[in-house]
Amino acid sequence: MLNLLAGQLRPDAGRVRYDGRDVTALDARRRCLLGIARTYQIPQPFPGMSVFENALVGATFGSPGRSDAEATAAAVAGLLPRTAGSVAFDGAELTGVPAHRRVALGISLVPEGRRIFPSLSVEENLLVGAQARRTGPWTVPAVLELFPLLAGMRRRGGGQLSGGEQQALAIGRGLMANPRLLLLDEVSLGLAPIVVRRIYEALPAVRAAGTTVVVIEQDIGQALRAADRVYCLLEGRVALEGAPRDLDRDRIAAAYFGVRA
Amino acid sequence: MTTANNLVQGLLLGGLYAIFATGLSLMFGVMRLVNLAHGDFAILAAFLALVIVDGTGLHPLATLGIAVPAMFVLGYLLQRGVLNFTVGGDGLAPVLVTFGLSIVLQSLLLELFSADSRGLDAGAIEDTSLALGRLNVGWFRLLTLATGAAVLGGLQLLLARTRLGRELRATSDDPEAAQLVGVDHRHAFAMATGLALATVAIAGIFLGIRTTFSPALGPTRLIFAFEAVIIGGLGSLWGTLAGGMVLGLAQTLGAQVSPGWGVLTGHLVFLAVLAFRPSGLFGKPVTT
Repeated sequence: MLNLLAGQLRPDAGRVRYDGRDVTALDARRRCLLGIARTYQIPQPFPGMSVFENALVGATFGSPGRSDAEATAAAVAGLLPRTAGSVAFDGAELTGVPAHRRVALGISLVPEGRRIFPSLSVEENLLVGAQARRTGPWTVPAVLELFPLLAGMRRRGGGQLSGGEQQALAIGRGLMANPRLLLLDEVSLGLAPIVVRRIYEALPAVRAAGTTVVVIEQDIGQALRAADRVYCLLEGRVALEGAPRDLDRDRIAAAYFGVRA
Repeated sequence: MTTANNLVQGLLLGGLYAIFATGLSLMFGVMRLVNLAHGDFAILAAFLALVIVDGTGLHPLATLGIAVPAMFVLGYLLQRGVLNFTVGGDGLAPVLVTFGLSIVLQSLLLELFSADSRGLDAGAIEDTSLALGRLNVGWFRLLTLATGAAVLGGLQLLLARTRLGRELRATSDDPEAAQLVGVDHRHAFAMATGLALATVAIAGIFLGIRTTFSPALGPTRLIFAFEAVIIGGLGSLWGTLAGGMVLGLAQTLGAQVSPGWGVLTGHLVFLAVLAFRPSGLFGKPVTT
């Protein structure tokens, strides 16, 4: 909705109106001049961040902007440094701590779109993930064992990988920091179902090694299968929360669209 | 005979241009920052060497041991204290700031050393030469080319093999993703500028031995360095060496036709490369 108003999304049908004027034909910049500016709503650090155990479901139904869940993950990882309110991790205040230092504290974000370094080889992408010098179970051999599809291509350039290989590498790169909290943003976006399944099959081993995994997922079925706990965020608040067995698609859909049951 | 001699001289001159160009290429590669004060830092290093020679009686080449680390530290601090605040914006801020820096450096050097041309006297190495058949090749010029190859090779190794190199390449690819894996991009940027000023210090001191220098010479040197980078192709270090050599050859052969044509021929070759092969001789084709 906000995207439509800000001009980042074109309506297929109908008109967009603002302040009595029809702004459908104006581009985003012009609309800014009319006083419509899209500001990302940073969710207030909602109660219960510290009880996050395994999953987070975000509302990203076709919206090209950041959903609440994505903005939350970005705020936790330090990409949105100036939030109103504060972000805490394990009891320690994170506000003002730059992103690279948060990695050293044990927070790794695997960003949407993978963001593999194209000019680094697969192995170098993994090695650069260990930049924070945290020790733990995850090393290059351990990651290659977790994702066998990467094993044969250590020397291949990061820019020459398929989407699934990139996603595996991005998660492996995140693991190389031996994080306590691993945030996975839009894992399944643009990937074939079989590849998504293979990626998800790796997550139990990650959790078994002591890392909390937060998955931002638009595939509700996938999230319900993988998670111990599911959170639905709406307008910066937790609209629905619970164990997967207590939730179903209808309740989640209602929570997304703001329909009060 | 003259032509053969000029060919060799042109290639050797290219070694000097390559050292000049390396730092410019590195800074642009890592943070998309064009340092318009690059040539002035070379001249600053030459004056620094001059002060050291006057003060201690060291051989000009020995001053590299002091001037290069000093320029590295200056570059690191400059990036952390000033230039880091300009990167990541619309690209105009770094241009304006480094242009300002260029003027400040020139004025400062003029104030301290006057507009007189100065030189660094390296003694015997400047006058002796290696006889190759009927060609005489000066030892110092050979040393310049060897140093250029060593600087580029060393930098290539650093980028390809070391932790710092990975950090720099990752930051160059995607600064935000680099932060997400724990790389402090401001530190990486500062290391890149430190390395750039260290290499340009070598260039400045070799220039000071080879010829005379004065405070206002920086911008000309910047243009030559810029041309070497573009001719060789952005992002390719060995291309930079080749670009320097092409520029050196063009200038020397042009000057053979008429003394005034040297620099002009270099510019024409540069323009021809821009027109017919904009990604440079060895650069990857530009994709956006």
